[in-house]
Amino acid sequence: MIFKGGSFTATSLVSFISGIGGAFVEMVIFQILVGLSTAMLYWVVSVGLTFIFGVTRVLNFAHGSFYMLGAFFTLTLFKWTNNFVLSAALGSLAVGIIGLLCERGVIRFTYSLPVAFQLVLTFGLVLIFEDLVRFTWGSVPQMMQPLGLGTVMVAGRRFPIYSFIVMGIGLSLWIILYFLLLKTKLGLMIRATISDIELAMANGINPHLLYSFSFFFGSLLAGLGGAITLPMCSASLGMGERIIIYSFIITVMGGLGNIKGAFISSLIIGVSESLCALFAPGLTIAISYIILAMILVVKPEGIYGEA
Amino acid sequence: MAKRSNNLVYLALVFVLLIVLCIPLLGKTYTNYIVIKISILALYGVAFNIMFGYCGLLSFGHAIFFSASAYALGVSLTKLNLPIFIALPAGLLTAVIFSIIVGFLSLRHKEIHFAMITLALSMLFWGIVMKWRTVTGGEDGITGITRSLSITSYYYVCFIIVLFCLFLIYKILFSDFGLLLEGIRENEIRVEFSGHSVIRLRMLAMIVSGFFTGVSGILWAFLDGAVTPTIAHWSFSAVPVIAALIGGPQSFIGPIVGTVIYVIAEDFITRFTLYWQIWLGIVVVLIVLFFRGGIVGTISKKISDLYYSKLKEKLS
Amino acid sequence: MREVPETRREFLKKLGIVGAGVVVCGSLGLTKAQASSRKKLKDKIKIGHIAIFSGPFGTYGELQKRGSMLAAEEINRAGGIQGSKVEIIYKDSRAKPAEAVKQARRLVESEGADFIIGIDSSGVVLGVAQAMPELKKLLLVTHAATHKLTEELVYKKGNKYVFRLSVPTYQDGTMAAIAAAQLPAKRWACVHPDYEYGYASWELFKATLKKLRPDVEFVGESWAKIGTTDFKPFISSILDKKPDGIHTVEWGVDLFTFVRQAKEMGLFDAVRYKDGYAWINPMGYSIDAMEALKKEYPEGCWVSGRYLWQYPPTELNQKFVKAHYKRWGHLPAYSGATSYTAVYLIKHLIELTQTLDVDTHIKTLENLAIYSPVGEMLIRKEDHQAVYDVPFGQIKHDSKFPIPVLKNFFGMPAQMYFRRPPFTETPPYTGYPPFMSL
Repeated sequence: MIFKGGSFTATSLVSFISGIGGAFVEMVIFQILVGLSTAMLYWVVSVGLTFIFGVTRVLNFAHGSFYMLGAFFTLTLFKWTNNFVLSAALGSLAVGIIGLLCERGVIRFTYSLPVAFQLVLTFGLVLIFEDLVRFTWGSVPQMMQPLGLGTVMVAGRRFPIYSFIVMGIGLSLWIILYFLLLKTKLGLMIRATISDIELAMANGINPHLLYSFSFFFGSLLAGLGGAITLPMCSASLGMGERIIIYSFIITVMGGLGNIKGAFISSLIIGVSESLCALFAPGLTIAISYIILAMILVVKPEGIYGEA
Repeated sequence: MAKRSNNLVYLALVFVLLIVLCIPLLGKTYTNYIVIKISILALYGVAFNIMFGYCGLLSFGHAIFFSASAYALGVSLTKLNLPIFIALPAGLLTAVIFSIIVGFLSLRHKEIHFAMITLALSMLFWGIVMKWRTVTGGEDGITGITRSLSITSYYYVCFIIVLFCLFLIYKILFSDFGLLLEGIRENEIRVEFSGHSVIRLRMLAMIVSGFFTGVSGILWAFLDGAVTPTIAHWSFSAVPVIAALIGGPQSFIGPIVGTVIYVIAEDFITRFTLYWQIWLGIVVVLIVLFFRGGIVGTISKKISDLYYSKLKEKLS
Repeated sequence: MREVPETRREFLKKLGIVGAGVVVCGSLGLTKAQASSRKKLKDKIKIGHIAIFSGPFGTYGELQKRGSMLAAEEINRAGGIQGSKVEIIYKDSRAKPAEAVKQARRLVESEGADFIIGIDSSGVVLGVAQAMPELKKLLLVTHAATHKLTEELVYKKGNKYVFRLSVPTYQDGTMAAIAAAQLPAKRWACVHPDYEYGYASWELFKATLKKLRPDVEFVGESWAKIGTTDFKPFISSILDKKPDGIHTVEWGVDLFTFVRQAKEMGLFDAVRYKDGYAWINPMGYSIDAMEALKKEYPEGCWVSGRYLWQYPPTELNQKFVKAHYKRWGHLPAYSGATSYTAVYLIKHLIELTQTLDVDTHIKTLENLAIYSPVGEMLIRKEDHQAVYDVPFGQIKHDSKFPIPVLKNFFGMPAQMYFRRPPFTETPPYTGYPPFMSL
């Protein structure tokens, strides 16, 4: 095998075959659970990107920068208020507003331009935000104090309670989006715009308001993702670059603009990376690219097709 | 455009070439180095623009061709110890093979899907390069690609090769083949109905584009004597995109102008501050907002507007 | 745990290596009167310092800058290098080899730099080293750790322009294994960053540990890509292998994340033993990790660095630490200490040789023994690697200091665990290197 690592065959198969199937199954289930919590974090960030694309047809590179800003804002707010929930909420809101300002100030001039222009423009924004953050907070990664919520035993192993909370947030977001899009008038307007903008305009929907709203909401979600990540790791420069790759992969894999697609793709990516760490440790760096490439070559519109 | 302005353009071109030829006479090795880099990236940009500006397909996969040829060259020279007259064609052949593979997997699809598939393949290729340490050296890459030419001599070698390649690409794009490509960009169905196979034309374009990208990859490998996975990363595919957009994708020299501006702006900015990202970001944003057709596109539009308004004056 | 042997200084004397390098840093050296009587070589001695100043590892440039800037300020205050002012020009390598090569070329060819120091990343250093023979200037590496630099580029391929002043992967693999061999743990697993540095360290670790303790087994490996924010899958897969010892060369921002999550999931508890944790983290005592994690890093873990501010307990080192803390409000990081050493080494070289000729410098540096805050260093002729030892220690939380400190130093003379030319044997060696003639 050309890839390094691979405790795959040896340990797990042997224990399976020798009838200790139970322990093996426990191990896999726990690993899947871990993958699900990662997936939910990816979901929160990626759904913002796909939502923005669905409404505005803009692939916002700076989405990763908003994620980073969310983490930094929450960090500073937490230092002042000592209340994590409040800091996360205010931080996400602030990022949403910044997203809105970017849309109104700069991005809206590129709606009529092809995708490449928007990508390059938002790439320019990424550079600007990166230095702004470096100027304000310095280049040293910063951690907040641990939340200390403790762990719970699952399948004989410790699972952080905070990860359950993250999964809860992800699922709540799913429910909120469901209601927003299917049960409210705003949602109806959004869905109309996503599926056929000209028809929607003909029906009197003002797309500009919706564009601004989608940037506000999508960026808020990116900021929320950053806030959620903060207790588990740190706020650092370059964290946007890491998450934007995942967001792109998930958005494209599920179908550009397709929210259900983004959810399923997040699950696929999160769980497969987790299982890969268990069975083929050396492959983890490449597994999400392999899955994406395989899916796109067979079905380029993504799993659920575009919205 | 009138014949008179065509002559002006030729004159300007010769002038620029003379300047480029004379730069080594200044004796500043760093300037030579930067100009070599610009010329390699300019070739990369023009080769990329065959797909982007002329076929209307945004490809994120060109880093694959660039790095594949560079790595093939590196491996041939340092690990297999092949002589250079075998290593060079090996590199180019590798670039062509990969452009066929990527083209086969992506060209059947619409523009946005094409972009996404090439992006996915680019990321996958980078992953393979990083993991296949025995061949590619992993993150360390391959070093020891000796140039055995001084920077000044290499300057002239690159200059001749890049100029020759640009000339070839120019001939290709301004032939019937190039016209067909532009036709596909504007109205695919019409071209198909005229009896041409769109997909075959696109594949040919991809191979040409990949081949010349491979040339620039090889020139790059010899410049620093090393090949690392940075050039296989998808963000390296973004370099010609930026160059083409800054310069203007609808013209032949657009990517060249764009590369010159981008490299010089970056070099200039980093000279003065460690906060180079914000300034470069502002430059990029301003150019996208205010120079829609790129610098070349905007300027040529202004010139033709001026020309037509003068013509209107004369006629009225 | 063994103390650092006393015989080190005697050993150096035994080798007969005195060289001309007695003391390099601090105020010892030429007196002001002596210095001003020598002729000024140039108005300004320019040193190009290339490090990572942007992106997730942007801290490392700052840490290096603190060291070199402090040295430059001290030297200039004391009259410069024989009257020449020292100027350090900082450039961002962005952790990209092509970028670093470009900056190196610009520094030398366009901005008049006489020396290049720095470089954080292993991938970058190999590329820059390649450019130095064309530039004909010295590169003093202060951080990048790949042993390929010295073993292959300098020793095998003869690149004489590169010198490394920081300990390489021998510290992260070989010395780590020597420390690990003292612990009761028998089932070792690892969580490493997924790139060359991780592989190299793990290979060296396994080779040495197997030699010292044939009874140990290596039960699992985890490779986390750089920039991992969620180590849970890796931690849980390692926990499943039931290790009782962990080796990890995670560093920088990934290390912060890893420690926090490992603690939560019980990876530390899994490797607990009577006197601490069988947790070997060679880059654990880097200043950025200690300042970020503080008390979160459990007491009793075995960590090291490329320099520890507490070691060696010499007057010169203490002076340096105090000056650094006074100037920057932070304790010195290892790359700061090696950068400080690099600048002073340049001063010393020039004063010694009275010229800026590179070939003279190279000849002088080979087999030079110097004394710096980092300790006593021998710059080996064969591979231009500075040989000095850095011990491992156990983390201890002490409220008297802003960050945790180390106790129970465990070390070994560097000559015993640094690989020796022709680099075919696995350390540790049982005898001292052969007696050398100059």
